[in-house]
Amino acid sequence: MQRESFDDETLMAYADGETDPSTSLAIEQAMRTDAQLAARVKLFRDTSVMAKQAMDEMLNAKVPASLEASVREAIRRTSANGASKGQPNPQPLREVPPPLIDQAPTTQRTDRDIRSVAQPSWFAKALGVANVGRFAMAASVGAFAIGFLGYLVGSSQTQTSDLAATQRGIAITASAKERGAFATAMSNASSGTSVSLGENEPSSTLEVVATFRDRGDALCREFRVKRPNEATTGVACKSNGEWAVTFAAASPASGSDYAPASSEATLDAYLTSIQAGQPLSLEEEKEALGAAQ
Amino acid sequence: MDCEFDLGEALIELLPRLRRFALKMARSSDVADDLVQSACERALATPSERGESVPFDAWMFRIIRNLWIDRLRRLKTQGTKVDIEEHIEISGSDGRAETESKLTLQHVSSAIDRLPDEQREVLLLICVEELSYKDAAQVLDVPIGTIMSRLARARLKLAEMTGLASAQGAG
Repeated sequence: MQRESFDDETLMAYADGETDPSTSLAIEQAMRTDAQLAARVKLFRDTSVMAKQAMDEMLNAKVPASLEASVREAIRRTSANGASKGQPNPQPLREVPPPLIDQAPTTQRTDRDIRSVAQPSWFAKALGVANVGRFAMAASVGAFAIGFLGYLVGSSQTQTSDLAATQRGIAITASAKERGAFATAMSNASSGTSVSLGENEPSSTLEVVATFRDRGDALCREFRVKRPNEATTGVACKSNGEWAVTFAAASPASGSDYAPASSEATLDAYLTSIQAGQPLSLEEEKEALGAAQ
Repeated sequence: MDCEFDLGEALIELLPRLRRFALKMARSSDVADDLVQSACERALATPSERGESVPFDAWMFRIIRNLWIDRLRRLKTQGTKVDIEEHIEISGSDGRAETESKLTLQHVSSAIDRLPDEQREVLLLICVEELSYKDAAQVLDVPIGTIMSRLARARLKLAEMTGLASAQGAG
């Protein structure tokens, strides 16, 4: 009798019910006379059962009330906008305060649609649609202020904490000097490095986090500005030779090195919407920054 | 798409599984909750982007997974070390004296945590979340052949780590 041999992947697929009928039949026949083969199939079956049992344990843990509440709130907002049943274009929520002073050249990417046609997969499409509403939702849950801002100049770095976030906006740079330091760092500093912003406030630092290209191929950099009482996570993109801040989310400084998870989530949503590419390696970054000078 | 399908209800119902998947991917509950929330918001914002042949759970896993990958890449460029051991959380601890079987389950759980990312995610999607090979391939954007080789390696390694395969020869 001829003896067929089956590789591990085929045996595993059989254990998972993923083989076609003729392969299944052949394996079943072979297993009758080959104990080793049968043991191998059993091994694949057992590992699957074991993994599932161990992980099903986790389903007993209650979903944190805060998470469920946030999701329910997001659902409520979406359905209030008439978009919960799958309409193709949910209306953006109108919670984003308008930019206070938008001195930079227009920071919304106008090339948003150029490449969307070339996104074949359902998921890429899902990610391609920029929707301000999402950011508003994320922001309302976490970071307390968010907007698409140009540079905000003036003495917004004030001690009075009772000013509402919407009145204050997000101060990326507090003075002309800071603006210069910001632009210089954006053009020159390697990701992972920090520079001090201005001399008066040695504790205000700018950290360049990563460099990438958006879907319009503009060079963009994620950064963090840490001030004594506030931390801002943002993205600036090179547009007409200038670094324009296209996104920023501020949160009260927590003393920790990391931005709070909520502003990270907001940032994630933003990066997705502009179809940010993978962060460039340090070599690629150097080259890209050099070319952009 | 099914007219009766209520995205909000579906999300709430799926939350425990979404959270489980995110927890096992990110191995930190703060990050996991954040990923789940971001993924839900994204799904709500662009519900029509789910392909018709794509199961809802697979679509959600895909969103979570991609959010996590994005974040991981950023952490890497920042030079932040992600300490796996510190982030592992033991779930379901309810103060009872732990039985032997529970210890075993935790042992399996931590063995899964130690699998390489690409093996862990395939194992979670197929063995735990019970996606088909085809759906898992769509979630991860790789060919089915890749899914199968990763999954086989993941299971052999898991068997080895848990002592299941001690008496087994290599094929």
